[in-house]
Amino acid sequence: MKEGCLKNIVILGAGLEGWSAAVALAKRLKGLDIGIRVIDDGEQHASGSVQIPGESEFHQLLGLDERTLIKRCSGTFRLATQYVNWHRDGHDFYLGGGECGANIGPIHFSDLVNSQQQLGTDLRFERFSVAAIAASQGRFSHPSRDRQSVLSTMDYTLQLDKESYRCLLKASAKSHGVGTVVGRVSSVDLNPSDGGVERIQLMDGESIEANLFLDCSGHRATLLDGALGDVYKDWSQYLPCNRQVKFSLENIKPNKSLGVVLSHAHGWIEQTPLRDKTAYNYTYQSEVSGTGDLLDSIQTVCGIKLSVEPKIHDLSPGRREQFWKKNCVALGAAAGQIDPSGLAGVHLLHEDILRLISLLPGGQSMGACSAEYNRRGRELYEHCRDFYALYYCSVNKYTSSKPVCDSAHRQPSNRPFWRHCQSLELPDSLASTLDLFMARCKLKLMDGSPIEPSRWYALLNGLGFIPQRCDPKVFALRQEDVKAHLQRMQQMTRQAAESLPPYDQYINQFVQQ
Amino acid sequence: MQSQAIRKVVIVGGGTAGWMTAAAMSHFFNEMPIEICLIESDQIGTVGVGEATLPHLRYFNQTLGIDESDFMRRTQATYKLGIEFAGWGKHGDAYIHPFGDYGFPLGGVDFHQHWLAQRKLGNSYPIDDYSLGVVAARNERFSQPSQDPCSLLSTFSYAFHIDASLYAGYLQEYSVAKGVTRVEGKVVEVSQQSETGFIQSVTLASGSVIEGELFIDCSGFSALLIEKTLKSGFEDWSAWLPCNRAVAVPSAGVNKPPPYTRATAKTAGWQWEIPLQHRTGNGQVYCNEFIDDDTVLRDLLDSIDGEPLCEPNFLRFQTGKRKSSWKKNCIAIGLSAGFLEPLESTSIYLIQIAIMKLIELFPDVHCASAERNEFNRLIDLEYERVKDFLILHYHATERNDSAFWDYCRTMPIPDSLQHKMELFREQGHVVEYESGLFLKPSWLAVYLGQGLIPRGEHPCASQLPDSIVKSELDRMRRLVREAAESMPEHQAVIENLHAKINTKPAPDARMSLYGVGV
Repeated sequence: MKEGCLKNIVILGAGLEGWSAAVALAKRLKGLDIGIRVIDDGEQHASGSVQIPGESEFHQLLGLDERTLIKRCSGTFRLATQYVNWHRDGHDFYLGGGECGANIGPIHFSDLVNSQQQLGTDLRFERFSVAAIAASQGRFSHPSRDRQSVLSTMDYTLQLDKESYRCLLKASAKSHGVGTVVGRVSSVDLNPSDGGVERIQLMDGESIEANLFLDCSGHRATLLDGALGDVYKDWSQYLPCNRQVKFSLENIKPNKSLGVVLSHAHGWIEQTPLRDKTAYNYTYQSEVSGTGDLLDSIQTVCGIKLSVEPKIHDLSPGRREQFWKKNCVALGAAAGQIDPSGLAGVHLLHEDILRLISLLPGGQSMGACSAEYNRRGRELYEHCRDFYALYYCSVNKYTSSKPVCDSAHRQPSNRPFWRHCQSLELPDSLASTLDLFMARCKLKLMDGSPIEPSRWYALLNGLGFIPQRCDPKVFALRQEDVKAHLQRMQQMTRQAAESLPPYDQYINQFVQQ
Repeated sequence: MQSQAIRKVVIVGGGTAGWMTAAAMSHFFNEMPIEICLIESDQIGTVGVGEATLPHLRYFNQTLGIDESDFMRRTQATYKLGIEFAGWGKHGDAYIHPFGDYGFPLGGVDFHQHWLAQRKLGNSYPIDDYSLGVVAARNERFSQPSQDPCSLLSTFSYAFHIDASLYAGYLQEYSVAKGVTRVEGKVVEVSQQSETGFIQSVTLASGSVIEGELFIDCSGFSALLIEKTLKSGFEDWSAWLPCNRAVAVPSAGVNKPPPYTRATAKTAGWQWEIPLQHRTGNGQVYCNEFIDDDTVLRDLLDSIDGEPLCEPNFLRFQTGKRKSSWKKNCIAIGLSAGFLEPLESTSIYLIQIAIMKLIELFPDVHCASAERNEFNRLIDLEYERVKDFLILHYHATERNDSAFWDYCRTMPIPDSLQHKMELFREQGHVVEYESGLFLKPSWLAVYLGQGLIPRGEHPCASQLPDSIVKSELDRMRRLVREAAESMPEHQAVIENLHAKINTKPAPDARMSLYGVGV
């Protein structure tokens, strides 16, 4: 081994993020004699569910197959999410995984839809989404591999019970030689010559040294913030929720391939069906809920009477200024939080871990690697922030757009949460995205964004954003042809969705193979 | 909505920029009531020196329904597999930057990391030997790449060397057949609407007034509309890319034109050699602060192979870009939008990308800021990517034999490039991005070709046993050699093209420099 090479990695924090990093590194660095240890500081781990993209590159690296995850982590597959009473009472929409509709030559599907919207017909993208229709009917299958088939346009996510997933990863990491040290941190010593972390001192006197430290200690970021003084950029002016509680119930039998996010007076509640229970994530803004009784609110909103108040978790939307500083890399909540809904959390964690692996330092110097890691991380977090901030952005912020369809001008909800959202700021990058979209039905180019354009278009449509103009090339087509094409597409989509088996039938077969 | 639609587009200037724009618009707006008028003057020469192109041009032609073989015959084209850079890292070295990649990853680690590790162990073979595009080029072979991503024959792509003025003529025929109006004349005056400042019409020397709603400035360096009228402003990049002169002279064709461009570093610039079917394009790009015109011309004439076919043509230019390519209702395309020396054959590409983005973002008569801003942002990104890559060629050098090279070797460079070079030097990691032209294989070609060897490597580079890596690399070299040997001679393919025998339909083109299997 050369001098100054990576010999030891220490991970502070034994939550999902710590074990995810541990097992990924253990697998990737197999045979290189690099020690990996996790410090378990006794923090209680958050419960609830996690959402992971289907066919995840991360799971491929870990050699984790879906059958194992379904069986051991109470997993389900999700094809779509339904948003209920979103911005306005009675306004629901579905976001299905994958593509919606199809282009005609160089003319994009969303321009075709907009040309109809301009003529007064509102068209919902979800009618063109195989995933959304299938999910609304409780159906599921994996997407087809045949690129010619409309069933190849679906995409899905995997929902897992967080705690059993964490335990699975922990067991896998240990079987690959990752060591555990149990103990609480008493102090962190810095190296006087380069300012990096030299050792972590535990309360029992044990001293932990390493070349590289991963800070998976949650938002408090014991290493990045506590020891190295890296600041946190607050994004609460863009993202409204700051508290959440999680609980699960045994005897609810919901539609398994569909997640539901229902807005309530102070925020929203997400219902995630898992294999043997249903997980709930009740999220809210404390300024709106005030000092009202939490259990009462939960009962009022979803008719669920809990006997014990679940632990309240603080959320801090934002990101670390430097994710990788000196010889410490923040992961998970220590790196940033976007929004507790959807894919943001674990998706970013996986992106970060894979990127870290690709930039592991070969020699002593970490300067260029960390600079690149941070550069790319900033891009990723800011693209995600913009996407999730959009969920809370009301169409009425764009009153300059002339009304072309009814849906754009229904009365906005006067629920306290949505009133609070009216006061949110828009990041400049999101504002310019909306400017271009509303002017011209075009999504600006987002180099390196982890969010595909199809998700943006679908969300914009679901929220009721209707552009003023579209690609003028649409008007080279006869509008009767466009209308007929769109009707045919809807029909094909529905037929394809209805050809899929019911969820339970598919899953029972799937797990037995 | 319809009443605000653009009905009349006026293109000022012909040449490659003007006629590519006219052709593309006439294709995309075929079924629409948009009148396209191109004004050009036979009096004004176009810059057109024999040009090398990028694979993206194939996509442009295919989109317009242009048959590749027909196009090649009409433009005296030869195939291009890459560019040979001689003497850039140091005197006597030479590497080819191919339209393709090198080797295959092993054990999840990039090929070049393994190559570097093997090199340290003394198993050193030129990196060129691992690229089918390079080996084929050196052996003057050519065949159409395969579309099967698993085949070695899909790991390269190709473009053309063309006579750009013949291409302009070809596209003129295409456009006129699709209804584009050509007006002969020289623009002497431009008039603007008083309230908006939008260009309303241009007046020709003859007195004719041509009105329009959208104006495309293809008037070359003179930038009549975007600069002289709308004063968009110019961002000068000569501190990083100091060359500001060129001299070009075509020479009689060689017997067997090679399927690659040559770019040879010189005392204060570089010399290009572009092989066409009927002649060779030659020229030098230089900085007149470091060398005088006569010395350059003498050197050029001494070094070309065939007989010069006409008097040399001298050009002046300023490297940089228009601050906004799209201002009000005017879009600059071609030399009016900016200039980067043709070191990596990007001029026609930058024209193409501007045309494609304009058609994607085609406005209505108001030319709203949302579309303009996005267009300008995208064009900026494209220029930035090319700029950084060109600066790399000059800066990553050991040459110290002239004041010019001393300057290039020691000049301050953009932060973005500094960061990329440091990361590669540290451990051979290439910064990746999605949009814009030169991706990982291209950066590797130049880094390694010009002697930028990383200090370290990724920890996983030593996971596989050395003996396995060595045998895999040996196998790769053998496969590449065999594949290249199985390809016909470039000259034979060109001859068949003319004789219209053995021609197969061209593979599907993509907006990519590299093959499907890369």
